[in-house]
Amino acid sequence: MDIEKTIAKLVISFNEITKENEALNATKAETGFDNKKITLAEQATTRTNEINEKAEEIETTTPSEISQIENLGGEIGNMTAGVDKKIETVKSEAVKEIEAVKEGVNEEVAFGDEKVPCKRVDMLKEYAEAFKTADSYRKVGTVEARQAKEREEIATSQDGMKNFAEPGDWIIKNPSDKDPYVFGSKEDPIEVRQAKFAKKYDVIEGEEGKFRPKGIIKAIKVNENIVFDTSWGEKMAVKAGGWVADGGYAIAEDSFNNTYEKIEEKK
Amino acid sequence: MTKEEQAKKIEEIYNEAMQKLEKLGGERTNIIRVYIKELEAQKIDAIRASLRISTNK
Repeated sequence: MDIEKTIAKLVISFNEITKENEALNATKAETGFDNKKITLAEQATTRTNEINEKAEEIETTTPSEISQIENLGGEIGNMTAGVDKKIETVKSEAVKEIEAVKEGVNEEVAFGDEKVPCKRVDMLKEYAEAFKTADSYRKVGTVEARQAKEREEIATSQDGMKNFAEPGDWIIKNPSDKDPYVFGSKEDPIEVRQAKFAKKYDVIEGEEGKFRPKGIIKAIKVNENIVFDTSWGEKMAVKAGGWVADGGYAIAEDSFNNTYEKIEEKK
Repeated sequence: MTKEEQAKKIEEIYNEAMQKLEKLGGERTNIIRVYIKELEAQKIDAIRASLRISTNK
């Protein structure tokens, strides 16, 4: 009698598990591949394995006619070598890309001729806490600046930034930098950008085109290559060792070291 | 990039790779099919030739 009861209980449990499985399978079928139910690492591994399996399947599958012809293995291998190489390339590139996304190193940025993998971040959000206790820095020395007479492209290879100067925009060049950059946020109208320039830089009497910076920034040294969108909608990147400023922009390592000095706290 | 965005990106890479692999798989199969057809044709020609020789004898 006890055995019958146990069996009955087991049957009920089995039915419940079956129902749960059916519900889970139904959800998976609806969503195709249920990302929310698995971790990113598992998803990456699953997808990587599937790509590897597919590539292997293609490389080992041949038409049924092959069984009718003897001793073709080697020759077919030679004939399909080109395609096999392409299959291997597609496979390894996809696996590499998936691993990169999983690790968060997910975007290649050109720094001049060099392509560098960078982690995409929401910079101000990522470093919000760190900025609260970050050291303050001010620019040293003087900068060269000129106003654009017409729209021109200003490419800054040192920090991966590309920008456009509108007529009237100030184009600044730090003495130690290879490239100039356009001052201000494009979210501001040109008059505001010009006013901000005047607020941030002092004219040096008797030295045309030279200005002395007034501003103070909070900055943090970054220990990884990062890429982010500035508040004015432009892509900016900096390599590990470079700096990010609380104004929402990045400064390359050399440029920062040559242009900024730390403001020591008064004790 | 959020976890959801990363998951979506992985799916995009996966789908694109699978599409390319499907296409390359088709190309590979086609190469083999064409080659086998050629071999079959050669074998048939050889058989025909040998039959002709036999008949002539």
